[in-house]
Amino acid sequence: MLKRVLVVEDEQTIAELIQNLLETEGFEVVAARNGQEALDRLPNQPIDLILSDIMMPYMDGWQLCNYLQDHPAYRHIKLILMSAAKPDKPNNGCEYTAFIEKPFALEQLLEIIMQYTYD
Amino acid sequence: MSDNQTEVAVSAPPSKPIRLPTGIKGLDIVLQGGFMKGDSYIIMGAPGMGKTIMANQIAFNHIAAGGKVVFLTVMTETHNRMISHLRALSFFNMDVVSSAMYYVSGYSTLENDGLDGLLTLCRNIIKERRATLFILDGLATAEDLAPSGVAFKRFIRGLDAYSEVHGCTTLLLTHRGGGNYLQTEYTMVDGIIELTDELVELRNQRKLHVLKFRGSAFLQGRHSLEITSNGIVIHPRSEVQYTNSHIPAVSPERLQFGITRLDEMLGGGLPASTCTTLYGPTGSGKTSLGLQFLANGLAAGQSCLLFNFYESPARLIDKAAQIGINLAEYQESGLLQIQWQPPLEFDLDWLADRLLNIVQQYKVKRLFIDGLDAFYQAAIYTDRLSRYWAAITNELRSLNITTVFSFELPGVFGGNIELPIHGISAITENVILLRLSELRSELKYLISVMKERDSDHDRRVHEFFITSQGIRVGDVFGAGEGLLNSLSGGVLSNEASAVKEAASKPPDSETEAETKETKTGQ
Repeated sequence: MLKRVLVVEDEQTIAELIQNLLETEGFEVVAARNGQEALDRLPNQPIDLILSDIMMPYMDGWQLCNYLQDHPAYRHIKLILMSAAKPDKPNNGCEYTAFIEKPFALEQLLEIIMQYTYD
Repeated sequence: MSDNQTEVAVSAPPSKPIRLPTGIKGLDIVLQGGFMKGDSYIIMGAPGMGKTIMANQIAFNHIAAGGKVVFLTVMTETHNRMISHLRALSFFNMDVVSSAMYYVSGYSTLENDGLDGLLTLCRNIIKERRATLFILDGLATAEDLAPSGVAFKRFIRGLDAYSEVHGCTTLLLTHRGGGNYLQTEYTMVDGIIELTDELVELRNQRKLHVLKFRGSAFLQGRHSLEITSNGIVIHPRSEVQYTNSHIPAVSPERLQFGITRLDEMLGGGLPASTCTTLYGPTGSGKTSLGLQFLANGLAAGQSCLLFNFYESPARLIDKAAQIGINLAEYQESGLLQIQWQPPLEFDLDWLADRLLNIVQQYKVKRLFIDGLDAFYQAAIYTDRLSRYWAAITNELRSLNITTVFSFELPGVFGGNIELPIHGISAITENVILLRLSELRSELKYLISVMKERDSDHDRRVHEFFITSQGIRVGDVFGAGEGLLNSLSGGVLSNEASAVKEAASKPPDSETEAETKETKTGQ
C-alpha cells in the first residue's frame, strides 16, 4: 500500500531533495514549510509518517510534536525529527519516533523511513 | 511661561545609546564599543570575505552574553553546510543551536510570497523567538527578487523599524557592495561595514572598512582582517588605534647596559621609558649589545622581552652564552620572554597588536626589538611607517617600557648611512651607532652615541670588544677622526645628516610632533 509522508522543512533545497528521494522509492509526499503549514495539511489526507525539521519559523518541530501528542486523531502518526542540533533529551516531554542528525546520507534517511513504514 | 521655557520643561535628557558589543576585540575597538542596540547594519563583501563567519561569531558571542539570536538565510545554501563549516571554529557552540541560536530559512517564503512575505516572516520570527540579534544572510537575493527598487526600500525600512521597536539589532549580509555599487537603499541602515580582499603584488590583504556608522565616532580607514580557527580577528590600524597614549614626563631613572664605559657615555644609562636605536651594519654587534641590555635588566629582576625576526630562540640563547650572557635560566623562570617571528609575510598591525599584548601581559620593563628593518620589509605601504612607529613607540613609552631597537645598515664599512624608513630617526630619543673599521689589517668595532635626548652624553667614538667574557667598551678610538663621514670615501646621506643634526639639537619635541601628525592624519 502506498505510504504517505509529510515532509516539514523550511530549507527548500533539502525539502526538494527528500521529496525526490521518497517519490522515487514509491512514497507519496506532502510538503510543508513549517509546523503551522503541516497542521494545515494534516486534515486533508491520512499521513503515515511525518519527517520534520526542528528549527523552522512560525511553529518548530518541538511544537509540532507536542501538538500531535495532544490530539488523539494524530497521536498515532510516527514522527521523525531531523536537525543539525542533536537534542540531549525530549523537549517539553515531546516523544518522537526517531531522530536523525543533519547532515545525513540519503541512504541513511531512507533506511530509517523504511523501518518505520514497513507493514 | 515663554515657549522656550515650555520646551525646556518637556525635553528629556537624551538617553545614552546602549551598545551591543560584537565580542570581536578589534571590531569593538574600531566601532568604539560595538553596534548600537536596535540599529540595523549591512555587512557587505564578495563571497569568501568572511561575512557569514563574522556574523555567526558575533551571534555566539552575543549568546554567551545572554542574548538570543535568529539567523535567517535567503540563499539556497543549506544551514547544514554552513554549520559543518562553522563546527571547526572555536566560537561555535552546538549546545545553544536550536535554543538561543536559531537557524531558519526564508528562501522558499521569499520565492513564494515575495518581499512582503519575507518581511512578515522576519517580524514573526523576531517576536516569536524574542531575538535580541537578528541576522539576515542573503540580502542580495532579496534584492534580486524584489519587484522594484521601491519595494526593496520598503522591505529594508520595514525591517529596520520593527527591529528598532523591539530593541533587536539587525545585521544584513550581502555579497554586493563596495565602490559604485553602494545603492541609496543601503544608506537607509544605520551602519555599513565592508569586507574586502585585495591582491597587492603577490599578497592578499583582507581588510575591514566601516563606511558608515550612525551615532558614534569610529576608527576610520581600512583595518586588517584575518580568518583564523578562532574566527575573525581584526587588527585596527595602529596609527589610529594608539592615539591616546599618556607619555610620562622625563624620568631621572636610568637603565644601564651593565657596560661601565657605555653607561658613562650615556650619562648613566638610557633614560627610562625612552626608545633607542642601535644602527650598524651586519656583524657590528647590534644583537649582542641588545642582549646585554636585557641581561642587565634580568639580573636586576626586571621582566624583559626579546622580539626578534632573524634568529630562533635557541640560537640566540647560544649566541648570548658565547659572550658570557646566560639567558636560558631567565627564559625558564619566565622573567625573559622571547618572541620569534620569522621575517616572512606578516601584517604590520597584527604584529603591533601582538607586541603590545605581550608587553602588557608580562609587564615588561625592558624590550629589545632585534631587526626593525623587518618591519620595513613587511610593509606594503611604506609611507605609513613613520606614523605607525610614532604610535607604537608612544604606546611603549606610556607603558613605561624602555625599548632598544636594532636596525641593520647596508654596507659593512664606510660612513655612508642610509635609513630607508623616512623619519625613523625622529621617533627614537636615542641613537647609538655601531661601525666596523679595518685598520692596519685589523677589524675594529666602534661605538658612538649620536643622539640622546634630554641628556648630556659623550659624543666621541669608542672602540668596543665582544669577547667570551662579555662586552667591553674601551677608550676613545684615536684613529676615528672623520670616521662617520668618510672612512672609505662615503658621504653621509640626508637622513643620516638628519640624525646628526637631531643629535646636536637641544631637547625638543620631535616625538610630540609625530604624535600630532598621527592625530591629524586620521
